[in-house]
Amino acid sequence: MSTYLIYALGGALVFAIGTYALLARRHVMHKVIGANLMGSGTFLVLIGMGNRTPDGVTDPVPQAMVLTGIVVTVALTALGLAIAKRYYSVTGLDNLDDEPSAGDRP
Amino acid sequence: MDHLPALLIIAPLAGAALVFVTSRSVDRAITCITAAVITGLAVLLVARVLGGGALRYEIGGWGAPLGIDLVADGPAALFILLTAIVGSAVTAYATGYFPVTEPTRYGHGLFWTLWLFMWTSLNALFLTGDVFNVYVCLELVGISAVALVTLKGDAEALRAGGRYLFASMLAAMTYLLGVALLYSAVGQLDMEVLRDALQQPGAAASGAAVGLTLMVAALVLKTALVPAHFWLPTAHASAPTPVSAALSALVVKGSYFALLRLMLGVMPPGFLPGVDVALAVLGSIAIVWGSVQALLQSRIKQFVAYSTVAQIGYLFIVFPLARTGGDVLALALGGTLLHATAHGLAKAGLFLGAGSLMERFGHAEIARMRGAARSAPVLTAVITLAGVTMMGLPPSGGFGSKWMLISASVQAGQWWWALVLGLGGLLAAAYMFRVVAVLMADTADDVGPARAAVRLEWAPLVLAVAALFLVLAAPLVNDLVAISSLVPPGVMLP
Repeated sequence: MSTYLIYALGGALVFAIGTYALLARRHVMHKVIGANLMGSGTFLVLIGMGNRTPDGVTDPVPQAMVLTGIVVTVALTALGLAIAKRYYSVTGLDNLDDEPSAGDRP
Repeated sequence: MDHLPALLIIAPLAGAALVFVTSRSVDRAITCITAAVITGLAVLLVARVLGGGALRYEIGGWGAPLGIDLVADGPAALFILLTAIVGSAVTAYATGYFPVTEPTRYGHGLFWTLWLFMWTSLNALFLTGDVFNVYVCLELVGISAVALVTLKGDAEALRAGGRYLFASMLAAMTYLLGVALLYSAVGQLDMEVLRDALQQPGAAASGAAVGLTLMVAALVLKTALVPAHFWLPTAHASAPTPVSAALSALVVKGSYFALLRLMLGVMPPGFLPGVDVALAVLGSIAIVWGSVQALLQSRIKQFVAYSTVAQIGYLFIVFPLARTGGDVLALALGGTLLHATAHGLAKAGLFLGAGSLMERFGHAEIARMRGAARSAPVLTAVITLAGVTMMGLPPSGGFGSKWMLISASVQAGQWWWALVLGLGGLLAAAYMFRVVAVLMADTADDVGPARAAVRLEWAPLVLAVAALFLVLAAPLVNDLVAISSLVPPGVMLP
C-alpha cells in the first residue's frame, strides 16, 4: 500500500465523518465542526498527493491549494460561529431546524 | 497586454476597500461611482470581445499551467455586462432603500462594502479559467452573500443565512474534494489544459470521473436546482430587498456559469454518461415544482423566490441538447444564455418591485395588496412587465430564449423538452396572473403614503422594460456565444 493511498483513504474517511456531522447533527457547533472535518479530509488527500511526481521532487501545487483552502475554511467557520452566536442571543436556540416561536423574537 | 479583465476585478475590490475605511457619509457616493466605472469597463469588454475575440489574461504574467489565467470569452463578457446593468440598478435602488428603513438597524451600514465585495467575486467567477480559482471565487461570493442575507440581524434572517451558509459549506467542501481527485488523476487545473488532457485516450480514468461528478454535484447545490433548492426561498426572501434581487438575478448565475464551463468547456461529450440527461430531468422537475410552489405562496417575496426555483430549471435543458453538437449546440446555448440574461433583468425588477410594494403596504401578504394598480401604478406595471418575460410572451427576452430552446429541442429530435418548456410558460402565466389579478382588483386595501425616493419605482421599471425588449438584443447574445470555447469554431448561428 503506497503512502498516497493511506492518505487518500484516511482523508476520504474523515471527509465522510464530516459530511455525516454536517447533514445529520442539528446543533450548530456540530455542523461547523463537521464542515471543518470535510475540509481536513480534503487537505489530507491533497497533501498526500505531493510526493507522486516521477522524479521524486514534491509537487508544490497541492500544498498551495491546501493553504488557500485553509484560509477559505477559516473565513467560513468565523462567519458560521458569528451567525450561531447572534442567533443564540436572539432566540436562545442552538439549532436552525426549529421554527423560532413568536416569543423568541426580539 | 490588455488589462481589461483584471481591471474588472480590481475596480469593485478597490471600491469595496475604500467604502470600508472611509466615513459612512460617503458610502453611497463611492458605491455609485464604482458601479458607473464597472459598467463602463463591462461595455468596453463586450466591445473588445466582439471586435477581437476572446481575451486571455495571465495574472502576474505567469501563465497556465503554473499561473492562474483569466478568460474573457463571449459568455463571460455577457454575464459581466448583465451583472453591471443589474448591479447598477440595485445600487441606485439601495441608495433609496436603506435610509428610509430604520437607519440604526443592525448591520445595514455594512451593505455597501459587502455588496461591492460580492460584485468583485462575481466578476472574478465569470472570468476565471481555472477550476481551483472557481472554488475560491464561489466561496467569496458565498461568504459575502450569506453576510448580506443576515444584515437585518433578526431571528428569521439569521436562520435563513445560517441554512444558506451550511448548504454553501457542504457544496464548497464537496467541490474541493472533486478538484483534489481531478488533480490527482490529471495533474492540471486550467480549464483549457484540462480539456485537452481529458480528450487523450485513456484519460477517462475513474479518478477524473469521480472528481468531476463531485464538482458537478456541488455546483448543482450552489445553483439550487431541485431537489437542492431547500435553502434558496428563505435566504432570498428574508434578505433586504436589494440583496434579494442581486442573489436571485446574479449569484445563482455565477455557480451556473461555472457548471456550464465544466460540462461543455472541460468535459468531452459523453465523458459522464447520463449526467446531462439527469440534469435536464431535474431542471424539468424544477420548472413544474417551483411554479406550483409559487402559486401556493401567500407572501410576495417567497412567491418571487419560488419563481426563481422554477426559472433556474430552464438553464439545465441545454445539456442533453448540447450532445448533438454543431448548430443545435449553438442554438441551445444561445437560448440558454438569453434566458439567463432575461431572467436576471426581469427577476431583479420583480424583486425590487415586490420589495417596494411591501414597503408601501406595510406587509408582505399578496391577498391584502388589492387595488395597487391605482395607488402604485408604476410598481404594478413592473410586476406585470416582468411577468411577461417570465411567461415568455413576445417581444420579451423570455420569448426569444424559449423559442430558441424549443427549436433546438425539435432539431435535436428531443421534442419532449419542448413540451416541458411550453408547460413552464403556462404555469408561469398561472402564477403571475394570480398576483396581477390581486393588484388590479377594484376594491382597494389601505396603502401607505407614496415614498419620496422615486428610485424605488424607477429602478425596477428600467429593469423590467429592458427584459421586455431583450429579444432585440438576441443578435448580440448570439454573436457573443459564437466567441466561446464552449462552441466549436466554424459553427454558424441562424
